[in-house]
This record gives sequence, C-alpha cells and structure tokens, in this order.
Amino acid sequence: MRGHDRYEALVGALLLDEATAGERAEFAAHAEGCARCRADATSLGVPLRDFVEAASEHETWRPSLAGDVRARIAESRQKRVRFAVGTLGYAVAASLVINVAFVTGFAGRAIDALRVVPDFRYATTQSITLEHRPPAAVEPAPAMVTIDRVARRVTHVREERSQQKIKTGETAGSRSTSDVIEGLAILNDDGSATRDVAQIARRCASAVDAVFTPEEPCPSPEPR
Amino acid sequence: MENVYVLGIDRALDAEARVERLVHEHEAKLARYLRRFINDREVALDLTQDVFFAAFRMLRADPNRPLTAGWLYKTATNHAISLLRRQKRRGPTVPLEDAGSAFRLDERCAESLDLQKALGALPHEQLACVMLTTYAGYSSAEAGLILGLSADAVRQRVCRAMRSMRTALGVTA
Repeated sequence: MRGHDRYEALVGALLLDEATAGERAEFAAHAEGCARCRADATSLGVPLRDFVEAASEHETWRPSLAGDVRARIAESRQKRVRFAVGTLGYAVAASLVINVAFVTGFAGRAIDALRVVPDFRYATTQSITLEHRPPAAVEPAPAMVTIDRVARRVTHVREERSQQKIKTGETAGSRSTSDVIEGLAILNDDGSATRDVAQIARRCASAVDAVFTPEEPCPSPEPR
Repeated sequence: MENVYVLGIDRALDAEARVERLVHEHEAKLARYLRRFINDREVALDLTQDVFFAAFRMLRADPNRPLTAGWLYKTATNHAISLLRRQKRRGPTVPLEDAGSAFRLDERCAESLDLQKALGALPHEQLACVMLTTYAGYSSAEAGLILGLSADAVRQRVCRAMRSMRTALGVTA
C-alpha cells in the first residue's frame, strides 16, 4: 500500500470504529501534519455508523415476499416438469418414427437413395465448347514412286483383274491400266515430274517383263 | 465468517422449507438494504425475490451446502451493482426531483433523505463498501470477504466514500 493510502485505510477504520489503539496512535501522529486526513477523520461530524443508523431508524417498510417466492418456486417446478415431460414426449415420438421407418423398410430405401449418386447429376453444370475450324487447304503433292513399286502395283492390279474375270466371268469393268496408274508421275533426271500415262504404262510393262516370269506367283503387295 | 451467520443448517428440511425460513428471517432487512442501494422500492422487491430464488436453486442443486447471510448479501450486492451498471448504460430514467420517492411518506425524514442523496453520489464499488459496513452491519474484514477485497481496501473505499458524501451533503470540515 502506498504512503497516503495507508492513512486513508486508517481513516476508514476510525469511521467504522474498528481502529485499534496502535492504529489510532499512528493516525494521530500523522494527522498532526496532515489537514486533509484530520478533515477525513472528523468527516460528517458524527461516526458514519451513527449517521446511517439515525437515518434508518425511521424505516418501517416490511415487505412480505414469502407468498411471491413460494409462487415462483412452484412455477419453476412446473416449468421443470413441463420441460421434462416435453423432452420425454419428443424422445418417444422420435423413437417411434425411427422404429417404424426401419420396420417398414423406408429407412433402408431412403439411405440407399441417398447413397447412390447418379452420374448425370452434374452433367448440366459442365459446358462444352465446340470450335469450328475450316479445313486447311492442302495442295496434293505429286506422287513419286519408283518404277519397281509401280510395276509391282500394276502387276498386282492385273492379277486382281484376272481373278475377277475368273470369278465373275466378265471383264474387269471400265478400269484400265491407264486408269490405275493415272495420277502417278515419273521423276525426270532434271527433277521435274511428268505425267505421261502411256510412258508409265510402257515402263511398267517392261519392268514387269524383266522381273517376273509367268510361272512365278504374284507377290503380295507391301503393307503401306 | 462467524458461525452465527450460517443459515439453513437443518438439512432435514427440503430446499423449499429452508428458503421459506430464510425469507421469513431476512426479507425485510434485505429488501430495505436493496431499496437503499438502488433507491427504487419495486425494483428492490424484485431483486430480493431474485436473491431468495437463487438461494432456492443453490439449495436444490446442493442440499448439503451451508447457506450464510453473507451469501445472501453478496448475491444481493452483485444483483444491485449489475442493475445500477445497466441503468448507467441506459441513462437516468428517474428525475432527480423524485429521489426519495422509494420511501413511504412516514419514512421520509431529513436524515434518511440526506443519506439517500449522499449514497446516490457514490460510485458502485464505494457504495457497496459503505452499505455492507454501515447498513448491513458487517465489519470491514467481513465486507472484504463478501466483495473479494482486503479489509484495508474496504476501509480505504469507505474513507473516499465519506469524502464524496461530505461534499454531497455540503458539510464543512
């Protein structure tokens, strides 16, 4: 306790008439040099308790609260009983509902329905963006094949036609050799490509004659 | 606290009977204490009822717990301080001219109204110390136990309260 707080406490003890002889002597020694503490000690001129007692002497009010307190206690008991009965009722009702749900199988179906999540559930939330692109114009490059490959191809086509003739008993139709090798080109020595069907046909024929004998079976075409 | 303040020792009685006994013994004094504390008769009645109902709930929860008069005054003081704090937050609702209307006409003597005026000027903590030590009759040590303070702190607050009361009453040293 700080310096003057101690003497404030001593003044309080004096006002309440609780100060011991030692405390009174201590305060008297301090009060000789402290006017404020002297004024506090005399305070209202009479001891505080006497002042309050004098003011309270005229109080004659005697309220009767017994009936009100009894009614409030009874009300609280009723409230507790109502709460207990209400809680019990709700518990019984909830138990009945749960039991009936399980007995009738409704609960199982409900659980299954909740468990299965269809795939289309989120389909509507996905957006699909279709991009429309025009096809790029690509100029076809002239096909360049070696004579050997062309010859094999031509021979194979010829064989096919002869087989078709055997099967159908008629000619191979409107497809001629020139039609088959049409679109092929011959790469010249200077790098230019020529598209002479007759020349290609001749070269193919000579190549076939040089490579294959009539007794040899037609080789199967190479896989592309 | 002395044993003389221990109430409701008869544990054969149920909580309601013990509270009825408490009410019979302390209702008038406690109601007057609260009326002086908050300067409102009707509110003091409500608070007194709250205190006894709190005692009933405490005894119902723990029938073996001894109930002291100090507990009653402590609960009453806490209720009153809470109410005064709420009123302070809301602002004054009763004009100053009506101070003292909490007292009946036959109770309105000069000393009583002066005391009420002086008490009304005190902060809540000092008011509680003054009321417990002077009105309820507890010593500073007992009031300190009730309020959770030391005896010296109670005495110091009483001293400061007396300064304020002296100013409010216009008493010259």
